[in-house]
Amino acid sequence: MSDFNIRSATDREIQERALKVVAEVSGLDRERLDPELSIAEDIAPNSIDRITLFMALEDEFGESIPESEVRDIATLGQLLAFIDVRVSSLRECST
Amino acid sequence: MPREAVVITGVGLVCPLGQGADAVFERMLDAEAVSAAIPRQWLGYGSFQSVTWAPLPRIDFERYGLTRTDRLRYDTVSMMAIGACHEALGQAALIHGEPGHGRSGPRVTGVDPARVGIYFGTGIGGIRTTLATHSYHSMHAVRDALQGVVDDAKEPESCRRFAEGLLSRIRIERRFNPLAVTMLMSNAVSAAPGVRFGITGPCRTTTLACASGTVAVGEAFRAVARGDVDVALAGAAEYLFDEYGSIFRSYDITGALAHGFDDAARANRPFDRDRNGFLFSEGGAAALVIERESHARARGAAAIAAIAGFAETFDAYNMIAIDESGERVRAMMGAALVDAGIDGSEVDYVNAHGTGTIVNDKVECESLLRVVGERPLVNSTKGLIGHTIGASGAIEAVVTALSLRDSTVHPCVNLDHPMAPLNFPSSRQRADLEYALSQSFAFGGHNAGLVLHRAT
Repeated sequence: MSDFNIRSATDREIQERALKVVAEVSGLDRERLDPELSIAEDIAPNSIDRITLFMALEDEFGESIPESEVRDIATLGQLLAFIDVRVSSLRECST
Repeated sequence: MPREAVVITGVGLVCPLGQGADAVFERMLDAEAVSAAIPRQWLGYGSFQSVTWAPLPRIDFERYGLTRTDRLRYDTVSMMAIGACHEALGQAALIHGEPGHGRSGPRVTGVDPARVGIYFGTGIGGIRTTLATHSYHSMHAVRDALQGVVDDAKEPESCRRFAEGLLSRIRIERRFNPLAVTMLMSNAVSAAPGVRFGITGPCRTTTLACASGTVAVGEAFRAVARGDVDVALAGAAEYLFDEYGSIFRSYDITGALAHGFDDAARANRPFDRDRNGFLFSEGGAAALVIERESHARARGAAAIAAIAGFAETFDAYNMIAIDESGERVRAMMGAALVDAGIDGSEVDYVNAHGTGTIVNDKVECESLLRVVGERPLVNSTKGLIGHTIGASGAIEAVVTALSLRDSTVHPCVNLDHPMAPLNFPSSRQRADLEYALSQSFAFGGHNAGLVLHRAT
């Protein structure tokens, strides 16, 4: 489990961490991670890959990600936007 | 009809003495042995007669290209199975691609994947995942309630401290594992290497307690000899740690574990007069690449050793105790020798089941004296790394193969007063070894033996 502090990290650090996880799970090189990539076709083509992706993100950031909140995420860009919104919400809660 | 020679062209090993078959074998030859006190956290959950075990070192899974992603998908037992297979396939020159992950990982090469079979054994499969999943499911609501008491400043201090104490005893994961089923299922030890390396022939798991590995290798040997497959990836894996020590306690309560020794290093003593049980091991894994000699020669692969025979019998006596008459044990040994086309006088080395339990060792010694006599060298690998249960037979097959290759056997340790006039080496010993027997007896009554031959 990561001891990364999501609340104090910069937006860039958070995005890089997320992309590192995506690269690791997908087997794709970091340079190939384009926001237009499809989660279902390019990043996590089967159910185990998809589950692993979100488990790895949970572990990386130390936060739970309920399935209901990510069910409709279809692209890498949407995933990064979701993380962005989630982090903003966490920061607001801690101020 | 004479059977074409079947050879071993690659081996892999993960065990309490480390990773890498050759490195571990060298440590065994130097009589390195593993024993330690059981984890302190276990002591809070029950009373134990035995407090000693053989732990694994920290395993470098990245050596096999396994990452955090794989840790989320595979129980440790399957991770070790993959690691042992990776090493064995590499040694056999049947793997292509750099250690990687996702869909770019190493694949089997140089042979039609549909003509490769996996024959792996395990005693209990993904038991750690099973217990961790059950713990979370049954205790997470209790944990949350106790945490609520601790966090509530309006609760009396005594209540909060009491809740805190209870909380400290609850060891559970942070979520219900959505991949629990695929991790705990026993066939994962075969399926995981199959998926990892793209092997599409038969893929089987053998579950026969302490005989799992020996029978898995034996089945692979027969499959290759029959021509069912061109190459077999055989072996076994076991991982026996859990947060509460309940697996250890399950064995301890049977009275089968070594106990009462102030010095942990003296507890593991197969075939010694003062033995009183086996040393529980955290686990391990071993893999062997097996193929017909003609197939190996055609692709330029060198043989480490040959498999000459295999046999198995069943006591039909008791679910835990071995039949003290040893009749079915001797029948298995005899059948294995017949299958190999030799008689007992031709056996030069025996890698014994050698657990260190009172009755098992007695039955084994009596049987060995009657079937192979006093001449062959006899040792117990369990005396060095403890009993890895389902993995033990495959680990011992690897050790036997390397012993034949190097004409050298590892010593017995803590053998201060041998219980029988068998030829137990007290230090590493070179010898002219042509035939060797590796055997296993299991809870339930399964007996199995492999006869290996020096490569020609």
